Amino acid sequence: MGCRLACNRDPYSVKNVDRIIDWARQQVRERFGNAQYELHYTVYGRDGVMGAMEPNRDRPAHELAVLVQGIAPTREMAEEVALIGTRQMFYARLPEVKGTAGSVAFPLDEVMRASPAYRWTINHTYAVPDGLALHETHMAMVGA
Amino acid sequence: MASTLGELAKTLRSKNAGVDKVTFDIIFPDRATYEHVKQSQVLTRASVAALYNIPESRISDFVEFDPGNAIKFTLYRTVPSGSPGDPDIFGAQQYAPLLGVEVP
Repeated sequence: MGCRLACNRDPYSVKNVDRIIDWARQQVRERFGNAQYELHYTVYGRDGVMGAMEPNRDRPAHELAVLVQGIAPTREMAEEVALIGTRQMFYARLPEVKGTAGSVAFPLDEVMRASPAYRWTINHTYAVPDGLALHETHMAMVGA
Repeated sequence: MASTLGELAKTLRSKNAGVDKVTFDIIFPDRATYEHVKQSQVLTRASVAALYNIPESRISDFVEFDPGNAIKFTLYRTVPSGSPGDPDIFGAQQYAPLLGVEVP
């Protein structure tokens, strides 16, 4: 997995960050087609922490930080997914934006590497007819 | 005594409950405050669903726990904790909207 940050300050870009993300997603789709990868955008300053449950989603902050995460079978591909998925946000052109030299601000121009990850989930609860049967029980008198 | 839950609660938190749920605890400092909030009915399955913009079917449990002066509810996650794109893998910051709930 590789990840990067891309940030918005132009009020119009803040309002239309989903269009910038859609543009970048499309560029990644054109590069990798149906290859196996995942590309996740998390928009901090709008609904980064709570997603669809965020009640203030329609009132984003004046600046946003978008975390871009690329996941793929190999490290090289994951980093390229993250790289293109972020760099193309820079190139996204919304017709109403006055700035023409970059649609996002980068705190650094490289992909941060994350450790390989494996997806497995264990919910360690188990229904038993008699919970006490799993444990030895001892009775003791305490005190005088 | 019009106040917010953030002002009235002693502890107001969210955390993972297993891999596919997030649980919320709203604990009050004393019986009187707890009873006042409980009677006000500002926290119900319906109000939680409205606050979090979710169907009531996402709420697995909702309990008013008198011995602990606490109201507790649990939501099903949309994806298991730690799934790609999960923004809060410990469920630790999901309680914020509760802070501003007004109690008449």
